[in-house]
Amino acid sequence: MRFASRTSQYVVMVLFAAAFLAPLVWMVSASLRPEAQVLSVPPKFLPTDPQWSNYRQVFELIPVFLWNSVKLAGLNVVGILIVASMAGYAFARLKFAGRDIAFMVLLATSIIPGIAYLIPQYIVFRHIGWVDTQYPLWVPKVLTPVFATFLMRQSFLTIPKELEDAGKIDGASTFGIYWRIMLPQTKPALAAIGVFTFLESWNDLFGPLIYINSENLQTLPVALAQFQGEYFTQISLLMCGATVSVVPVIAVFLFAQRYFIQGITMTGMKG
Amino acid sequence: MATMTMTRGRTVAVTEARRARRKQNLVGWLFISPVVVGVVVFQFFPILVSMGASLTSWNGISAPKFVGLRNFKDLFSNDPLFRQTFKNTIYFTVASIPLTIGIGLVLALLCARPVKGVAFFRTAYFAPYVTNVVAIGFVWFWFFQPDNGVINGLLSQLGITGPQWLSSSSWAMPAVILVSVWQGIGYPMIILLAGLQGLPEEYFESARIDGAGAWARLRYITLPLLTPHFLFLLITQFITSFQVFGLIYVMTKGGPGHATSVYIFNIYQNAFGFGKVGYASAMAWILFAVIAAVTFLQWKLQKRWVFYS
Amino acid sequence: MQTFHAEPSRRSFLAGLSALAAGGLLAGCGGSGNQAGGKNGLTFLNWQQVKGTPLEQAIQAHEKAAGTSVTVQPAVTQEYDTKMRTLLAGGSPPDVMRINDDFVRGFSEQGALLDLKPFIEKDQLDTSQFAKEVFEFPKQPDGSHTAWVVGYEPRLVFYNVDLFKQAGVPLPPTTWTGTGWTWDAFTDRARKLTIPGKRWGALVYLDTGYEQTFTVNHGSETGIFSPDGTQFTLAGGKEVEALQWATDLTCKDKVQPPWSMLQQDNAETQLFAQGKLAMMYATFGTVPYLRSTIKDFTWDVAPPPADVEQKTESSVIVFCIPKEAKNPDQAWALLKYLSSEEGGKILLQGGAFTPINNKAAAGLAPNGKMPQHIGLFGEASKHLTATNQTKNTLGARELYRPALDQAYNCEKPVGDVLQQIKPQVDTALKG
Repeated sequence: MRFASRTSQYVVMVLFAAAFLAPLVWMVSASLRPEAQVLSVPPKFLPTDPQWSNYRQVFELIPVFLWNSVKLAGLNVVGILIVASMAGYAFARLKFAGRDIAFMVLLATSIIPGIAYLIPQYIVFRHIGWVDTQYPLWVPKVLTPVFATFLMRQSFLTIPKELEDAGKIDGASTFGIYWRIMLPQTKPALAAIGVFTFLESWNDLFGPLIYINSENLQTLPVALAQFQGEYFTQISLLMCGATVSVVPVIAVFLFAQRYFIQGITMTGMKG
Repeated sequence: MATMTMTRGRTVAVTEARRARRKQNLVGWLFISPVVVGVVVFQFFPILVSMGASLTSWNGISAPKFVGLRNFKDLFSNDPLFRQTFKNTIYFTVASIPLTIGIGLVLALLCARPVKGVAFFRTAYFAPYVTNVVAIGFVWFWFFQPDNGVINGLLSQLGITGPQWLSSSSWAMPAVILVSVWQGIGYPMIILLAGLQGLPEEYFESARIDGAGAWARLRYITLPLLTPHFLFLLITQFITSFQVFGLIYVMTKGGPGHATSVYIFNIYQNAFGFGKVGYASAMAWILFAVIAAVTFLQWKLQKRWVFYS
Repeated sequence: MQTFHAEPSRRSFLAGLSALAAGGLLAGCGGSGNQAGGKNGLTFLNWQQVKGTPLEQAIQAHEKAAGTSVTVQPAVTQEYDTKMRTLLAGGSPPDVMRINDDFVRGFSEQGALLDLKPFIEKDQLDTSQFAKEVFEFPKQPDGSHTAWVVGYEPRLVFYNVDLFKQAGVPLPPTTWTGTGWTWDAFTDRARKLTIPGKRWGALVYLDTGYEQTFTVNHGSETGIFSPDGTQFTLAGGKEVEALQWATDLTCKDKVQPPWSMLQQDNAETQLFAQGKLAMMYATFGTVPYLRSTIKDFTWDVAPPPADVEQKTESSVIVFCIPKEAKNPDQAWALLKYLSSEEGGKILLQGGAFTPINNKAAAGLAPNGKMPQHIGLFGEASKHLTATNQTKNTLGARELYRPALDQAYNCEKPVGDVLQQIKPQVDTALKG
């Protein structure tokens, strides 16, 4: 009985995996094809004539951009984890005047599409002298992590009040409760936020494009977007760049997975 | 004597309570101070300007000209593209959100069990979410080719002649929704996985002791305990689905005709393509009003179905 | 029972936070952006990669000759409009900026671009050395000259020589005066070259330049819009006929790939490069890509087929100096150099566009590479037609082009589609 359900589970998971991975497999194989054959018909999945030189071409482009991307992603992740968890805790568990309104206002700022106020925002940055620096790519994001704060709030709300009360009885300060008791309980949410923040920063094309004019500050997505020109796109190189770009994110995700495994038996889904 | 002590005691108690509340307020605001600074410095002023811009006809470069509510009037009475893109976006949102969250839940549940190689599966389901949107658009465009594409090829194996997909005004949107869901599932899956990890052991233990089977545990314990995360997903997915157009644009450029043109693309094109920044701002504010209303509704309704422990 | 060390932990936390902030500010300190400019420098923004192209070489040659330093900023084609408008609105634009020819009129009227006429007059620049129609493109109704054309990309018919020979079909003419290259002859050859399911004979309707070209060639006086840009003449009788002829290449004659197949970047060039498309109406800009991608057959270019006229439309490579540019004089010097004979000769090597300088353009030669008749791109300057534009024609275009999808998908005749959309287009043209 259990064996049948275990196998059927596997079958379902494998089918899903095939559906999810097939287009990506094509993408990797396209990255290895000579340009003339990329969009060949009927679509082939295995390259017959791997062009490793495509990868060499992409790698030649990237060292400085790669470092910039890594740096910015790191700043974003660390910053947002701290700011969002603090704010999320406050919105979830602390009572203070104007709490709910503040949360609503925060949420509201995420509803307005960014491009609607891009030009005024650019002018603000110009006045502070932040144009052509990397500050606009992390400081505003770290200080206004709307969804991350929201998620932390929801996570904190699911922690039983007893834990908090125990801390209060022991005489801990608010900060102490937050830092020592509540935060460790939200490791899975923190891991999720870490992954998504890394991803968003890593793939951000728009920010660096608009705010950065100097090549030594530029990030990876902009470098890879150069393959799309005015009249034609070097498709195989584009796929190559996309593949290269995916690897670090997958690495971060694999690293963060252990926080999803923790307590896996707690879900009571066995059997 | 006794009365005086009593009164003084009460006064002291009241002052102490007030002091404690003040301290509470201070602590609370301290915790959210970075966020407050961020919003005030980086968003307050630009958003105000954008609000003002919607009442002008402005190209971003020369001085703005005040036109009152004319932009809004024009949008509602003179702009068929406005209506079409709004309809398209609603279609897209209503179709993709349940699918993304629903399938994401299924996958999260599957991946929460200690099956061998689960890390591989989790990565596989998450991989599309992290991949470059342009590359994905290219790949799926090629897959959806009516005559030689993989999708119609598979369908013909099952004896079905596939439609024209991206060049058919009725099938283009479903195709785009499919790809968007395919790409987007990673997000709810991770959120729900994280939620599942945080569920307290005790409830399941006592349920198992009481003899509840797997389905019952799912329905009566797991899902209710996950409702805070579902609320999060509903609200955030609704907000983001109105703001994403990259994938759609790469696959169809908004066509055929305007079948897959979405609202945010219209804003973008007016602001940066035609230089009608004021008009585009008006569009953005209408969008804000709609999403804010829905979000507010969702927030108020949460008492009915969201369970916080 | 644990005691929580409240005070020290908050202190250490705040210490940690400020350390992070300080570290972050230092690390994020990217202020060393080489936004040089200064006395002898300028900043330059193009919408495509400049590195490794003749443009880079031309810029370097200018740097050496004039003793200035040019900082090229990286840019990306897809979001260029956003970046350009933000930079102009934000008040800190580069000194020389690539500009979409569609936007020259609009930005001029908004006062964002520097008038170059004073510079031309001060230097007594002889403008007869430039190809007249394209050079005059940025001239505004008030006489100001607000952008600078450095080159132009005419459109020609690219064709696969080997396929023609294999099918025994006579090659297209190699000069602009060749006779017998009528629309019927074109369709006929396309038919002979088409193998259903494997190969298409021709592609005309994908490149949007065909709208102006083929309508004018069929006898239209104005093409898409009237000269003052207030009327949508594309919906007229002759114009609709021309568009329908191009559409019927797919819907009736079945010699042209279906519209759905072409809706992705590069789809058509891939088809051509794989030998699955025999003729393609495209711009000069496609040449570098074809040169690097096609390895196993010979290809060449020919003028478009002739009807009443035999003109073609050209895209222009336009740069501008924003009004707020910090180094306009150096910017002008660079533009002057790029349009000079010397600069033009360098730019020529890329085989991507015809330099505006006629003497340089005369040097267009195959130099052992395809297409053999690359000189036609230079001759095209004598056979040009251009779309009439105003600041409202852009918005109008966004209305009628998507509407044409229905015609191209063989769902409705061109005439019906355009008549239906005409009222909206007319309204858009009025602004």
